[in-house]
Amino acid sequence: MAAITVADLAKTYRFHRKEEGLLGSLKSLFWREYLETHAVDRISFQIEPGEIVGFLGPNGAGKTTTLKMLCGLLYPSSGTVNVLGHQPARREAAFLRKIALVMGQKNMLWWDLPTMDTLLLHKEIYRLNETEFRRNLTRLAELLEVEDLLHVQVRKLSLGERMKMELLAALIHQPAILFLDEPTIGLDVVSQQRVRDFLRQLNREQGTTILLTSHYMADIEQLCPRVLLIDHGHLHFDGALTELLTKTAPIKLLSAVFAAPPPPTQIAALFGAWVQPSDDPLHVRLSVPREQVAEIAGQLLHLGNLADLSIEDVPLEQIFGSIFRGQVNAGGVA
Amino acid sequence: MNLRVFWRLLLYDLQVTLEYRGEVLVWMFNLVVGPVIALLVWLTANQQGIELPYNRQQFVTYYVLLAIITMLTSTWLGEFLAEEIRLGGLSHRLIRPVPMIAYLLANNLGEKLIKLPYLLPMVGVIALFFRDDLRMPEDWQDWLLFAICLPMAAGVAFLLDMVLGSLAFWIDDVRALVRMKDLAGAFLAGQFVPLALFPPNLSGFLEVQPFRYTLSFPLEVLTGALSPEQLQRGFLLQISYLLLLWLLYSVVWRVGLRKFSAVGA
Amino acid sequence: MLYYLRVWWRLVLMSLIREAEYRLNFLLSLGEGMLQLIIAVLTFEILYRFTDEVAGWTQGQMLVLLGIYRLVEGLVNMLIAPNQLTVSQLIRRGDLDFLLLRPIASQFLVSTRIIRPHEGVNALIGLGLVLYASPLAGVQWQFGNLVAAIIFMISGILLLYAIWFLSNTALFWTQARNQDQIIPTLFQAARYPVSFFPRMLRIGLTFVIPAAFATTFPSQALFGQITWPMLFIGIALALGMLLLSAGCWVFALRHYTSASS
Repeated sequence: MAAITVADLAKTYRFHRKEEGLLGSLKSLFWREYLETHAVDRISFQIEPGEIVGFLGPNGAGKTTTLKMLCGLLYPSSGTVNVLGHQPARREAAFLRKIALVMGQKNMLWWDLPTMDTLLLHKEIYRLNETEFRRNLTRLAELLEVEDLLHVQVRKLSLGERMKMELLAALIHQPAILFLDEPTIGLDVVSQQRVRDFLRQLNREQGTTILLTSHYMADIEQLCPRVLLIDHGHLHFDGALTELLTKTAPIKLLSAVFAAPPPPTQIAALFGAWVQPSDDPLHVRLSVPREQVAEIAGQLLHLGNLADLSIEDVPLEQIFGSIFRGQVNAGGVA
Repeated sequence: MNLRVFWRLLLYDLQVTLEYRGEVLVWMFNLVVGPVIALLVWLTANQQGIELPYNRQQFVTYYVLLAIITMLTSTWLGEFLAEEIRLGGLSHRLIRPVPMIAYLLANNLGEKLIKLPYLLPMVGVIALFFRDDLRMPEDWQDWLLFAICLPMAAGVAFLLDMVLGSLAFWIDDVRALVRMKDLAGAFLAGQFVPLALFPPNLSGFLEVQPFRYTLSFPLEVLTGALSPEQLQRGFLLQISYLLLLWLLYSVVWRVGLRKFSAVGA
Repeated sequence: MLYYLRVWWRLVLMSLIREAEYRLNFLLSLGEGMLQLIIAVLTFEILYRFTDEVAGWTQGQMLVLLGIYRLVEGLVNMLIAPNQLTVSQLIRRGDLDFLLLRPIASQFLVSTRIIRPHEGVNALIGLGLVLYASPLAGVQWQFGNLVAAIIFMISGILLLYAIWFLSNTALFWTQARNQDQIIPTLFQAARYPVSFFPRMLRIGLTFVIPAAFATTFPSQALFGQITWPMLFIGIALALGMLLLSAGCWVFALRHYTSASS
């Protein structure tokens, strides 16, 4: 039984546009122009328990709106949502006890108090008994390495520590699904990595279904075997990350370093159109179709004097950038 | 300081306040509630036949005008200034080619300008309701005198606020001082009860204390309740207070700024 | 239910801890409260210089009413005002999302999350004033009077909460962030007995802004003049308005757009 089932989900907003400057402000005193925007435009997908799924898309694409409809924060304009057998918008207590939401750069923790106090509040709200509470607390604090920080005021914590505390507070009641909205935004590289490691471990040990939205490709690469690509409210792709890469990036980057510079004419003759610009005569860069990588690699070896050879994927940012700019068709779901 | 820069500051504040027109509306509504409640209470007493120093017309005129004059003489930036000094934000302001006080004055005037078109109609409605008892002065001289002492009253209030705010150079938390000044000052300025109703043995003190000149005096001038000698004395005192506070502010600011820069904020 | 009590108690503890941090604010608020009370008392001194009674109320009785006003105001500022005055902030900043996700009635959490214990001191000062002025006013300390007074005050406070919260649900649609200040500003009228106001306003001051229930009726109860029908009307009205406010809240949440990231 799927954990999350979404069919033809849509959300439409009305808002008014304001012009800038003094004149604009005065004008909007008397007359406002209302516009409609389809934040989410008929999206359908299913997520099984225990999956880690990433929502990708540019700002304003509709990822966060979708996420909030899954949590029950927003009423869908049309379509159906079913999460763990509940309709999220009904916000039944039984449903809310099974989920948790963490938003990057937004605190649920009380600012002036130590995390422990917020945790005790959650203990009451989620009706945890003492044993469960202590057990969950110890386990999570250990995993997140924050045992010493539980009694420190939240405002005195660093950004990375605060995010760990947010996760702790969100998971203290052992939700079945964890929703994350930009969890690593604003964090330093080390903290980002710690968060990712923790999430992987959580999913592995607890079987927690994890949904996250993110701008950071590293989050997606490391965590999400499956991604949903959302742009302008539409679902452009739903499937394995590797599949997406194969579909959109049939190219691999070959980087060859030679001990002695190979004759440029020979390079041009052999590899022609695939040659990428390079300032270093010792360094040859090629952009090669996947199927031919092995053959080309062989040819490079054959040239002799090969000191180093690396085969890489096109950076994700580049791929997604080109998808969103409409230059490449991701195929997948229309 | 450039007049053009000042004008631009004024315009900017105007625009910012325009953004919040809903808020301004609510705000101004809140301003008229107090005077209306007080007026109704006094009118009840008056109707009962109790002998009061003010007759019905005087009460109505006083409280109908109170909201407008309170708003036009109001000042609120003392606390802001104190916080800027305390938290060091003052440093950023000092770099700018605009003296701090000009910036604050522009904000003060700009906000008042934007509040006025919201406040006037509301007071107008109240005035309409009580129009039979409203007594506006008929002599153009009274209006002229009012036009002179009103900005002076605003000036006295503003400078007093600035002086207190500047004490933040030496005192850590001036908020208590400012808030007490606001409350006690409002009471002594006649914002709750007209000064004429206070016990007569206090009248001497009430006439000369500075808070009278931030609100009550312009109101008294407008309602024509003052004799020529009283007018003369009043204006003399108001001008004196204005000059005194300006002097005090200049000294306090200069000395405080020196201390501020020396410490390295 | 005990569950709600336990959650509320935790919120009280957290608020106490937080307030202990800001001792200066505590003293400041206390000082302001005292000064406001003194000014109010002085105002009545001025009024009663000219007469012994106004609209049937003597100075002693006015002081009792003022004390009750302070008591009610203190309780409201301690329990209700800090929450109602920050609903607009919750909505704007998107912090409301976290509250909506808790498996507990969101109206409860939104309305009780902040408590200001130091306002309780202002309430106690009000009570002190009532006790001080009671001999002057001829208060009859009988059990029945006391119970009636308390019931009136509670009805008044609950009514005020319901009307305030109801009007705040409009914040989901309107732009004016400070419209949550209208109701408490109008509530200032509760400083005076309703008989001080023109007949037309008295109805508004009884049923729209519950000034009468909050201060006039309790005071009269203490003087031995209990308006019995109003006692029951007050209870019924309070319960009805609470239900209405809950309905409006649920309706408003349906249209919640939630600040986007």
